[in-house]
This record gives sequence, C-alpha cells and structure tokens, in this order.
Amino acid sequence: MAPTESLQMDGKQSRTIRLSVDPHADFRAVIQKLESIVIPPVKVNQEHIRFAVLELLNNSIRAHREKQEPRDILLDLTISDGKLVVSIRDFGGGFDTGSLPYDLDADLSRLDLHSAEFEDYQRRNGFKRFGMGIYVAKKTFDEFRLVFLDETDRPMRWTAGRTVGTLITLSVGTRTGSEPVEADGES
Amino acid sequence: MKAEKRKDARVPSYAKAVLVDGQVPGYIRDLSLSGCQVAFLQPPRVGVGDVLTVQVIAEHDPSILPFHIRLRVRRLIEDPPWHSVGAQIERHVDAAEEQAFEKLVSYYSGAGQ
Repeated sequence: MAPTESLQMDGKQSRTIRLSVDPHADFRAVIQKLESIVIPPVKVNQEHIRFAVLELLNNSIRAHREKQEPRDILLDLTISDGKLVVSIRDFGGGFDTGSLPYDLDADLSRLDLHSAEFEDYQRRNGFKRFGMGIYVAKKTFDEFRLVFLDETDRPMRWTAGRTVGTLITLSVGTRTGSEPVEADGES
Repeated sequence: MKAEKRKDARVPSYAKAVLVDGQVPGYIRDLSLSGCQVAFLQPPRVGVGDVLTVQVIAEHDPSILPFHIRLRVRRLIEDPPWHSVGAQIERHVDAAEEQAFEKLVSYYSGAGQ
C-alpha cells in the first residue's frame, strides 16, 4: 500500500481506522490518540484536520455527558478514491440547528463571526461553547455532511427526544506529488 | 525535522481562550510553561511585541477555574482559516494565575488515562 493510500496507527498501515471514544475518557487520551494517527498528505495542514476533528469530538463528548449516554462515539477515518474521509457518529441526541448562532447552510465567506448572534451565544454559554465547531469543520474540509439519525440509524429531521444521534461526514483530497506543499503551522 | 529552539517543548492542548480586548474567541492548541500558541478564526488586532491578555477556559479539567494570562506576541501565523499567535508568557500578575497556568500545562503534559 502506498503511503498516500493508507493511514497508520500503532505501526500498522490500513485504509481504515476506527476509534471508539468513551464519552468519559480523559480528553488528553483522545488528543494523544488522534496525534498518533499518521495521515497521508492532504490538501490542508494536517494540524488543522486534527483540530477540526477534535472540536467535533468535543461537542459529541459533551452531548453524551449531558444526556448520560454511555455508548462510545465512533470515529472512522478512511482513505478512498484520493480522499481522506472522516466520520463521527454519536448518540448524543442531536441538536436543534436553530440554536446555533448561524444558519448551517449559510455562505461561510459572508459569515460575521463577530455578529451579535455569535457574541450572545458565547456569552450565554459562559464562553464554554463558541458555536464554531461545525464552522471550523466546514472551513477545513472540502465536503461536509450532517444527518440526524433515529434508533434504527435512519436519517430524520431533528426532533427533541426522538433523535438518537448525529453522523457527520467530512472529506478532503489527498495530495499528489505534483501539488504544492503547504507549510505546517508553528508558533 | 526542525530543531526545537524553544526553552520548553510544547505539548498539544485543547483549551478555549478569549482575547479580552474585543472578546475574540480562540483556542490554545499547544503550550509549555514558557509559552503557547493561540489560534483565532478572526484576525486578532495585535502585532509582534504586543502584550495581550486572554481568559483561559479549561473545560476538561474542572478543577481549573477560568483565569487570565498575559502573553507577549512573538509570531503571527496566517494559515487559513486560522490566525494564530505564537506567544511567550509575560510575567504572571499573581500567584493564583501562575498556579492555574502551571496546572493547565501539567494537565496536558500528563500521560492521559
């Protein structure tokens, strides 16, 4: 398997890696596990990929803890057809997209992160929530898809008390040898 | 591989940080006892050499209450969608803030579970 076609964890190469994240896991362990996965070169800075995934996992972990949902959150990474595909499946009950400080379908380039809606949302949540996890994911990955699931894993409109969880799927193209290399950020 | 030139090696972290001037939300993405990187989605109005104050919210260690740190900007990094600041810790204003920051560094330097 060529390095551009595989992921690597614990010394093993694979096209697919699944992590089961205990919602009560020490978050440091989650960070370290993600850091230990070797991702092939992709079109964006890999640190940003990891951070966007971490931000979504953080949201899922919080939802599980609030709902006292003991099931693991499932994180899948796959290399397929020249793309890194990441999916995060949780059982946190989904959420009312109307409670976010912006419309999920909005043109992100026109979004004002300093808007009253964002500021109100952040203040209301004591700055423990920024309302930016999905925004970060959409800005980082080429493709973003979010569906709410019922108890049989069928997509459904979010309904309080009936929606079981959320499946977010993200993808970004892997980098071929002819494409320019982006410098990784360093402070 | 680049040689580590910093006084202390940085460790990956995940803590929310709010730039007090303007209430700009950001994230501390790595840190050490002597410095950290704070990543913002909006460009912070700061320059190299400036001292800025951020409120740190360490949601994963509830024993660390929100606290402030002062940082001297050493580097500005533009890497869309992020606007990051590489900074050194300016002197701590009081012992409580110093202890809170040390606790945060200790938390993320730990082996995890």
